[in-house]
Amino acid sequence: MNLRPFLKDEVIWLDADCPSREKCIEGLAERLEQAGSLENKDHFISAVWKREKEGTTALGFDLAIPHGKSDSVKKAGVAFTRLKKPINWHENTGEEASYVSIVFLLAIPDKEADTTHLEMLSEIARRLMDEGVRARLLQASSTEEVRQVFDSGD
Amino acid sequence: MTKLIAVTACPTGIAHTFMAAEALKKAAESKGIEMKVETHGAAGVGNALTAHDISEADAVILAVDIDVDEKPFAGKPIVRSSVGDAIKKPAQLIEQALLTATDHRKFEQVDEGKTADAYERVAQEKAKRQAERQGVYRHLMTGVSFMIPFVVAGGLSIALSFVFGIEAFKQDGTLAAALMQIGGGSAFALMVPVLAGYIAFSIADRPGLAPGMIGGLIAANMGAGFLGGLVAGFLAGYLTSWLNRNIRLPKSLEGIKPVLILPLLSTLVVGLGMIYVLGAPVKWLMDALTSWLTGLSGTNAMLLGLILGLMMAFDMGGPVNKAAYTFAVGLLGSQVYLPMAAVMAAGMTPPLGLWMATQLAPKRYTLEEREAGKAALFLGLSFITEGAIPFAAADPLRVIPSIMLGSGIAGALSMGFGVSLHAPHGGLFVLFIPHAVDHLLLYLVAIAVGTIVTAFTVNLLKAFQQPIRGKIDESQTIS
Repeated sequence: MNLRPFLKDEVIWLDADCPSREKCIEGLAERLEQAGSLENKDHFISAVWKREKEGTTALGFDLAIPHGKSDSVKKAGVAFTRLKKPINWHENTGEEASYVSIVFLLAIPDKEADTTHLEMLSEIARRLMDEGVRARLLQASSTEEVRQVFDSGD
Repeated sequence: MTKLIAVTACPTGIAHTFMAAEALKKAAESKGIEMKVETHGAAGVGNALTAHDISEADAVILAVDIDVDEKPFAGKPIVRSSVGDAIKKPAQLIEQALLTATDHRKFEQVDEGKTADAYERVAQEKAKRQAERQGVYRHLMTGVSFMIPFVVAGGLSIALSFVFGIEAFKQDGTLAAALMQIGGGSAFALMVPVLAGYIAFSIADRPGLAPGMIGGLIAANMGAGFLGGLVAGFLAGYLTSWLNRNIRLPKSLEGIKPVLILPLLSTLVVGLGMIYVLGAPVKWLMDALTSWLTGLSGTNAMLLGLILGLMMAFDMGGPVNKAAYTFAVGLLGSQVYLPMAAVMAAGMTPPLGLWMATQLAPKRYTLEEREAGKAALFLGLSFITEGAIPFAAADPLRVIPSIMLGSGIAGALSMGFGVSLHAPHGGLFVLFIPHAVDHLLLYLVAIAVGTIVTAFTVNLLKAFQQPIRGKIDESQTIS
């Protein structure tokens, strides 16, 4: 599955200097907006927070996959960041600390008859369960290298 | 080799569902275990488990944060977890599943030997058969199972109305009239549409329901009865499923397909087809069937009862049994009540007869069969023919002919006595409801004779059997 159309330069944010989960989600949402995925950024961000409150999206492995499903999403999209310094995704939540340095923010449209894009988002999530993929993301030195990480794989 | 299956599902169905599936697969791979994972994603069900996958599997992992249908996994050892746990500690879940599978096997072995759990085994057998149903038969049984509650409510309301006198409902404003309005006017009016709707639903999923129900209502209004419902249901189901697969719209219009195109087109085709083409011949057939059945008497009636009875006992809850049962239930909607009585009597005698057989000649049965006999008494009284399965499985060549003979006689007597039954199920317990059954005493005679014939036949046939198990059994009895 070719995931390149999803991973354009404007949605890849390497070595971001984010002190908190809030800043990280905000910054990634801005990039999704630039890429033309969002109708209304603020509405989308509140959908993401709603999902975070239902249950954490950081499930270990240095990784968090926050996501929002909302009618403010025009087309399915993803934004990626690698943080300069790991942050505790569970800060101020009372949950056990979970440090992450790789964050994928998924934008999911409320209604989309064509499922191709949803399947591509799922494919990205699936591949992130591979240790090798995560290691290469941590080492990638350019946006092109990030795309290459997702070129391989079954 | 150990085989595991899993289902993953989360509310959004984009990320975690697939991460959990991947985590489980990787963890299984590293342990050298075969694993298939079904994903319930936003884009639909991926990698769907087949009936074969399920029957082969040693255990099931359900890593789900939303409700999933667990019916297909009935009788399988199940490990439940959240999606998050499957992502974080898949290996632990797999260990747990393997452990449960081993326990389950032990339990099954114990269960084979001891039979305090004869009920459990019958329930498992029923669930297994349900999961194995395929194609047309499965769709038909889905429709019938949704229809049954309507028939129960309708038939018994009508029976209660008769408590005030057979003609009492004709008096407006009386309770009898109200009961008849509930039973005959409403519940029975919905019976054929529900049958047709859920047959179509089983074939074509949600889009099939509307054309199926509408087609069924047309059939009912035309007087085409349950035969019309079957025609409408299958037509609507296969048509809708074909339309759904073959109508291709530009992406921008894809959204209106399920809400506008499919319901309109399929309903029009089914409706017009029923009204102008299929309705009349099916109604003719249904009328012919009804008038033949109502006109039946004497030998012919007994012959029909005999055939229905043989069918009921032949596979004890399998397709042949269900064919006879569906036929009788469908006829209730056309006010033909005799076959239903014959079918229920014939469905009760196999377990009842086997219970009696174990009581009359306990030495011819193993300890576990004697235990199963006690369970069979209650299963038989409840009209659960499957209660005979433990016996038939152990010795089919002697048991099946015996129960067929008993059931055939029970069915023939019931038809011959002209017993009518208004409810589709309930066994002995429904007989306590006034007017649910006419000629109650004769009906009990039919069931008793069928039971006795079954018991004596099977014991006679068992007499020709080498008493190979005798010694082991005695020692078991003493201990």
